[in-house]
Amino acid sequence: MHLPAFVRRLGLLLRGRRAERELAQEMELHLELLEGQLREQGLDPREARRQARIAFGSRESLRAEARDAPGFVRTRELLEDVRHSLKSLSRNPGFALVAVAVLAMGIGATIAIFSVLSAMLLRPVPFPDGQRIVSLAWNHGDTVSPSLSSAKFAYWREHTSSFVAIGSWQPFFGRVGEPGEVTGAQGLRVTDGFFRVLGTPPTVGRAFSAEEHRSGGPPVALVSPDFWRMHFGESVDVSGRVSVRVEEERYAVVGLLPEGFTFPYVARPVEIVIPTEVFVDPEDEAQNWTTLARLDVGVAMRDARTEVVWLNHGFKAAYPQQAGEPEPGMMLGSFGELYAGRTANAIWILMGAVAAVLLIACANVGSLFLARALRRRRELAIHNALGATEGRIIRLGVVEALVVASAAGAIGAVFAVWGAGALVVLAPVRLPLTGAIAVDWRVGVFAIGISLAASVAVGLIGAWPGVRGGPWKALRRDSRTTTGSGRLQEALVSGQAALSMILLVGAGLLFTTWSNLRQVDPGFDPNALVAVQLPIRPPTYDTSERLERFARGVIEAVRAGGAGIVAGASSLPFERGLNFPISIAGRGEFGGSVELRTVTPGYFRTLAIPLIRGRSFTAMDVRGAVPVAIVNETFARRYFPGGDAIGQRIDLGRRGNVYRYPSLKGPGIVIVGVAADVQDVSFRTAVRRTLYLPQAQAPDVIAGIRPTLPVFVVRSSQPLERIERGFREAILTVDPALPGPRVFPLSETVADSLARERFGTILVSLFGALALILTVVGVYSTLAQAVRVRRREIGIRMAVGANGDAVLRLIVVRGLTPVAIGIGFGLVGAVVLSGLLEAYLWGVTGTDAGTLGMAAVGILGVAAIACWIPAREAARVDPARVLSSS
Amino acid sequence: MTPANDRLHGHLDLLILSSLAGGPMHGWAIAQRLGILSERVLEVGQGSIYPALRRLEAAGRISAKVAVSEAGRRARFYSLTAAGRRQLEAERDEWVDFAAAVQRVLDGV
Repeated sequence: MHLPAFVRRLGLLLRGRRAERELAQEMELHLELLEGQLREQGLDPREARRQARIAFGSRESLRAEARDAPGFVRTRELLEDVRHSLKSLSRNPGFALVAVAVLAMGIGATIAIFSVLSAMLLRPVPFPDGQRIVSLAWNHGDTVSPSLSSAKFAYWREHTSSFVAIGSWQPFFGRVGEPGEVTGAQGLRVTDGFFRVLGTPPTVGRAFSAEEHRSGGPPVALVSPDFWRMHFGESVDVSGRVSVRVEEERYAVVGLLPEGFTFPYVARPVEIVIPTEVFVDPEDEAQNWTTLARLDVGVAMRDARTEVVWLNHGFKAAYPQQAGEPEPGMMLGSFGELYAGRTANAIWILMGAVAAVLLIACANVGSLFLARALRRRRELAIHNALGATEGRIIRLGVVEALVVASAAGAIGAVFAVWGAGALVVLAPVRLPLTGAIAVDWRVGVFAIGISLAASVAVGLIGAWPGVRGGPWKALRRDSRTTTGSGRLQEALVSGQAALSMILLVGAGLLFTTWSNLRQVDPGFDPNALVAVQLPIRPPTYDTSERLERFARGVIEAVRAGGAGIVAGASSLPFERGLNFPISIAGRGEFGGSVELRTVTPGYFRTLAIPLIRGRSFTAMDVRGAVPVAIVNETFARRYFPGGDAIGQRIDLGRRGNVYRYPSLKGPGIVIVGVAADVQDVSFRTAVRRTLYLPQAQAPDVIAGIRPTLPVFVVRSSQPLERIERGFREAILTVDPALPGPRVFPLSETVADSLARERFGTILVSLFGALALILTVVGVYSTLAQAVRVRRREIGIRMAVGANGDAVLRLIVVRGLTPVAIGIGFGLVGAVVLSGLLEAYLWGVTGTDAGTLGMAAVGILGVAAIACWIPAREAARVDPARVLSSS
Repeated sequence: MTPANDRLHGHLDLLILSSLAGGPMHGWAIAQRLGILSERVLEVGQGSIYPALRRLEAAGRISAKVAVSEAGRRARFYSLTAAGRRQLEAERDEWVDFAAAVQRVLDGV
């Protein structure tokens, strides 16, 4: 159909009732004029009327005829088609149920992943004119970090002219409330400009003044309306007379946050906001300032981008110490883009996986429709012969598919909402969403679009025999021959096998990665190791000596209780230590930043970390004695390649000839031992250069930086509850004001560090399994139908001497051929697509022959089982009965 | 629908198109022009032209416009489109050839 014709028909269709009314009026006018003419010829009015009607013909049937004119209003017919489809589907509820269920699975999974993607990338941030809010991030080359160092933040704030405002925030979870009724609250520390970027000033009260943002300025806070109600009741007073205690300080409440204020990337609703200042420290490389900016009116993203990148030169000249590494530098992106980053790539891959599942589902249901259409071919041919046009028959098929797909879409959408929620909750990383997962217009349009696409695909596949054969051919041929449509069915099976292959290879690669990582030796023995952590550090524990006294006290008390081997440390394995600059004594140049951990004597023994050379820490390594250190192998290799690390000295905190903290100046720390490497951050990352210091000799500077109390590790066979009780009592004897500790097996932490890999593996395996099941069902139903159709041929073959085994072989080969072809295509596809997955793999390449082979053999094996059942049935065909029955 | 009826439909279309060749007309006027044929030759009611008009309209051969007739009544006036004019010429030639051929057979030439 040409486009103008289509538009014209559409116009007629839309005019609907009006066209019918016009026709009726036209006919009435004609009748009136005819009557008038007859009256003029001398007939009396009644007779004139009668004769006019006879001459005109039946208006009812003429109207019906006009309605049947091609392109005339078809709405009623369409409704009839829907009714007809519902009737024919309800005659075969099993078929309808399977078709709806399979499609619902595919559609639902696709919508679920899409709604996550939408919330992550497509939706603007939930603030006024949100698309003008952009994010500044530092491109390290291999990663992009949306958090900036103080110097970077300050430099760009000062030098850019593209933005109305630029602001930064740090989330915190603090203890809020008067002593005795302290609760935890989600808070944000924000810089001047933060609320101007968001464009949401407080609804009650006022925003912070410039003075309040300066350190030493009046302590003030904004709180959420809910927070106010919970702590202060219904009447609101934001004059500053009411104050709220956060940690140890009081903040006067000067305003309320907008109702329902949520901030993306902070897990809970924000309850309290406190102003802060950015202290510019050229030496401080900690990337702690997450930064947003609002584009000025009339400034295009492209221009702002150019300016931001251009400023890199100036920054590197002003802060050479922060530009040492060959970093590409600052970049500008949309809020979602920069936050979602790697996670978004993973979700895109999942989207690809579910799209493959949906395609398989469509092919599968399409083949069900096709098989049914073949069974009903005679019926359709008779319809056709009786006057239903070919177009009408195809349309009937598409309408039927539409009914099925609409039901599947509706069911799928419900499950999708639920599934997407579950995905967000179960995901081991907090997904960088711009708000809650919601069914907004994007998701709605997507759901409807995808259901329509699915119904068209299914309907066209199902209508194939009608299109290809034409009615007369179908009537002439009996139902025993299946040439064209048989080939289509085989092509569909091949397609399904190819997509399954790709999904299974992906699942296999992720599984291999996961199991590889699980086999990495962490360098310590996590079994029977229990970690003990205190949730807070009271401000009274501000010096190294106090921390040491606390640690020693607890360890002694626990030992007295006979808990087992105990040690303390500044942080647990698989938890980041402190990133600290060092230089080697006697060498002028800056050594670099290393991982710093302070530990008590017995740490290495407790974790079973082998000491390669030298000695461990002892009770003699205390303040006043010679300061000592133990380094790991990686450290020793890096700084003393080929030489001996023992006896060498380290200058803590020295960068070249500058001391970061003057109090650290001294004769240096002597290395007394080299410990084996430990996978201390994660299994994936390379071991970092690590420096261990005795807790008793740790400088106060370090105590000041590390915001936690020491943690403890126990190697013990006692039950967890007993260990917990032991520690609770021990801590009470040292400081009764401290809360109870969190006690958990360290093996849990180790397993948690693989949670991301495990989750990805489970999800992709789930989709792979779905794909495989659908494909196998497709293989089975296609072959079973072919066997049914070819019973006669099989009977003849057996009558002329073929034995059951030969028939069995024939059928199995026939069934597996399209599967094998599909696997071939899938193999090529998997190799082509392997690059996408490469970043998520570890210890296995994307084109791993073993995985490809396993997937191929797996699909072929399961398909062979599916072929076996119809093949065995074929082998049991009784030639005499088949031949006599026809 | 019988084959004979089907053939009449084709003729009716041609007759309507040729009626409109002289300029826009409304349904009643077309029927008047075809009047001599109506009851006796086509053996269908005058009303038959309306479904035919709808069919031609949907096929883009004619277009309709609502206007006031000389008698002061509102009516749909039909006129030929370019496609309709082309079809009329083609069918007229076909008819002439066909009629001539039939005539020759009947005359026993």
